[in-house]
Amino acid sequence: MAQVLVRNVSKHFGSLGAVNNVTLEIQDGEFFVLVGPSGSGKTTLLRMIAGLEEITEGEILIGERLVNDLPPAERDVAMVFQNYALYPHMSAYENIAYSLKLRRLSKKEIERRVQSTAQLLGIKDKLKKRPKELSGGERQRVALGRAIVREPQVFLYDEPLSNLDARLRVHMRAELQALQRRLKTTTVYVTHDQVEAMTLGHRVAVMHEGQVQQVDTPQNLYAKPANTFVATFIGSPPMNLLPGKLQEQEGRLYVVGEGFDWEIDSARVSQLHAHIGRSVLVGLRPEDLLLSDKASNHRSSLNIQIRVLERLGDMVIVYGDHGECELTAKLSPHTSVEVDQSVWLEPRIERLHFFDAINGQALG
Amino acid sequence: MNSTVTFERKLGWWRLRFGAGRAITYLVLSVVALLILLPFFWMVTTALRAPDEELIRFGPLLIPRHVHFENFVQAWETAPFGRYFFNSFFIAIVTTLAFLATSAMGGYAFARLRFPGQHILWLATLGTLMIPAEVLLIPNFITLAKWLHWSDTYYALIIPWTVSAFGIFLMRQVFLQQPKELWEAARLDGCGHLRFLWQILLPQVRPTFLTLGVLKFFWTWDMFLWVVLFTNADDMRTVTFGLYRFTSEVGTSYELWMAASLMSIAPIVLLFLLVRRQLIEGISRVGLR
Amino acid sequence: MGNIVFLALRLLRLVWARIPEKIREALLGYGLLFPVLLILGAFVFWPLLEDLALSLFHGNLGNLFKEFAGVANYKDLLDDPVFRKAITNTAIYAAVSVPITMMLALSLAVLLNSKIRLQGFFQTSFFLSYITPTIAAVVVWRWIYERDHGLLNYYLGLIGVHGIDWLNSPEFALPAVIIFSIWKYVGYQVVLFLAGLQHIDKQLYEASQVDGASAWARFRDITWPLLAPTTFFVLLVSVIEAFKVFDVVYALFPSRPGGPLRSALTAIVYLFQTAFEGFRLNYAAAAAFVIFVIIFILTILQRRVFERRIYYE
Repeated sequence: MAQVLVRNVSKHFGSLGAVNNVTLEIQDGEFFVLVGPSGSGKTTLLRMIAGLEEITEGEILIGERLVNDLPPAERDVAMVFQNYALYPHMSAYENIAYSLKLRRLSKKEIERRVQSTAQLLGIKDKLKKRPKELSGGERQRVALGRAIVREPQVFLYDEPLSNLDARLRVHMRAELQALQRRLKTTTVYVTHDQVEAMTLGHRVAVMHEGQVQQVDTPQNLYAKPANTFVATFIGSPPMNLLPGKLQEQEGRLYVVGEGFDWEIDSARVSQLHAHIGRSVLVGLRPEDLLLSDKASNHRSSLNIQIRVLERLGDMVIVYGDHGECELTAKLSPHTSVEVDQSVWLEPRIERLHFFDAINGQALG
Repeated sequence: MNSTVTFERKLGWWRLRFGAGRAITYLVLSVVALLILLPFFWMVTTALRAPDEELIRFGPLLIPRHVHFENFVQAWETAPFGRYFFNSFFIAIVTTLAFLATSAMGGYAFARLRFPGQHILWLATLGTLMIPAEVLLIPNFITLAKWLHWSDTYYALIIPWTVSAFGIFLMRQVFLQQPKELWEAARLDGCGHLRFLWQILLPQVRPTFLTLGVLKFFWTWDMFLWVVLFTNADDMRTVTFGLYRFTSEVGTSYELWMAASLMSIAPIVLLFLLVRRQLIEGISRVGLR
Repeated sequence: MGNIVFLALRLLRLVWARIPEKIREALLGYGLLFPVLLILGAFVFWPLLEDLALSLFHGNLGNLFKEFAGVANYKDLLDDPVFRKAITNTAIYAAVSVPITMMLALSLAVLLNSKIRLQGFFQTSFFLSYITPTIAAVVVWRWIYERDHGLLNYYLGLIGVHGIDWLNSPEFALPAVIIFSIWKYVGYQVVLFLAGLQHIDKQLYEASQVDGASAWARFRDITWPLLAPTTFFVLLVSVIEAFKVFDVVYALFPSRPGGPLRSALTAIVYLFQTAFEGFRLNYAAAAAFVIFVIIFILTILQRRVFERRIYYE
């Protein structure tokens, strides 16, 4: 129904939560996620779209309408808050109906819309209860109902699942996804949880220090992080980063660092050619490190002594030090390794990531 | 074996001490409660006693030999208590309602709105907490009686008492304790400030709001100095002042005194017993006055 | 006609909606505070200035600002034995009744705070005397204090004390006021102290019990320091209330407010009599200002003394 355009938007107050020159183009019907650590400005940005926070610079358009100076109620957006912000003295029904009542809809129409919303969310039999008498999940649904019933152009979610326990969170995540598929309403969703971001978003914007680091589909964020921040923020455990140098030898490209010397496969040589001789950070996802035996070429493997071992059932995560750097590897559950054991890990060369050692930007 | 015996002995000793401590606690509390309640008891028994009943001959329990309700009738007829009650109720209700309104409005303005000069106005409002009304008696008398000619009017008894920094301070506190998201959610729902205050915020803080109202009602009913100063006509007097005059007019007929006192405190005591739990909880919560 | 009003309202709404939000918020703020500022201005700020001005003049009821007197009224006050008596009495009243009431209330609150049945009943009974209208309570106490037939003397007679003339002898007038005020205010303070006690984390007591602290040590090392904010609040409020005492004294001695030989004359009663019985308004204005300053200084002083001792959460 509406796209949301954010153009060169800034918000200054102190340093925490400030937003610095952000531009985003959120498509009509898109499930768009803003993710970042706390204080990265994602919530501030959301609140600026809602109209709860003033915009210092730039403009925001909802459905081609400039909304900078419109009060929240006139922006035709609905918001779900982290703590739900349900009116405690009103029943679930009254909570959902309140905005319609303020818009002077007829009693019949209100009744119809509240009932169909409740039906959609499966809370028909809870409508008479007050927020206090509802469980966390039910409260969450009432908060959703309050947003849905207005049939707004845009849904705004501010970490709506963070107050739920882990199991319920997974469940509600699936429900939110199904809901959005059904309603096809443009959605902006703020979270600090990268798993939520990856599972829910059509596209995800990673924010850090008030700036958007990368906007892309979840797969691309994972496969082609634009810089070291995105690389380490997305994925768990985070990507390993090792300092190294790009070197050319006899027409072949190598990346050389402490204890390793990897030849880069020919497909990528042309991308990286321009950076020969530079210091780089080599990115290695933990699952791209494989256990190898020492018999193979020792310059292609990394030697670590296992410091911590986590057996998760479907995998084993090992932590150890390689020189100055900590290395993490996800190994098959059948691997027989022990703490203090010294092991050799071999990377999948074709999956290496390269970043500029100085500004952290991805190379190539 | 030996240790078991010692243990049991110790346990017994503790029980004894604990039990005795308990008994003493109850005893002390009961005695104090008795001392506090005794005057009320005497008020009732004296009010029910016959006028000619020998004054010195009350027994240790002080229960009158015969119950006489005619003291109440006589007291009621001796002075225009009907009028006094009307005045007291009227003044207390109007003052309380106006006071609640200004407290909520002022509290909201200081808690949730932002405007130039707010800080200075807030400091000025708080500053009035340091100035007791009693020391402003003389200039206020001049304003009300000499300039406005409000002696013997309800205005003089009501209007100066409709605002207090205390009420505003308290409402501001409880408004600030409400989550900010409530206002944001209401704003997105299309709610303005006044509607938000009335429909969302006040229902949230109802216990405190009602406590404040009940206390204001009590304080207004209790008002004395002001009534002495601004009423000359008998039909403007409140129960409190009426009772005071009554005692000097009927001489030392203590049974009439007590009957009149009992009547005059009845509405307050009934109201108190009705809301006592909420009131005490409310005062505990906010540490009033 | 109705149409015009309707149109005017529509127009007003339209105009109101056009005003930028910040300005609307400010206008609303001033609007909400208008009654507050009007009343406080007219009955607090203005009178304070007027009182000060009055105190610097000589005058009479017809012309209050007859001639400028400078600090003459204040000088006279210093030499006025009645005024000095009033201040002394008030100070004695505060110094005796406040600590006794507080100690009593604190002890009762501590007792009530143990796991006890009938807590609600005790609290309600204690509180009853506080909410009872002062004058009605005073009327009852005039009966209790009566010399020949009064109930207090009757009971004192049982333990061999006879014939105290509570309301007519200069020695007992002020004690009578003090006893009354203890009776009246102890319950209120119990509620405040109890609220403070219930805010103290129960685990602290359990921890100290495990550490082997005696009941007294628990009170001294946990209750007392952690209760300091409440104690301070109660002290501050009670001292100020004590300096404002009027109703009791005025009503307990109706034939001669101030008691026999002015033995229970308090500051506000003095003020009232000077202004409205002697009609020396300018002089009384000076007295009022002095009393205001005393209360003000007491407030500041207590804050100073206590601020160092309070353990803020």
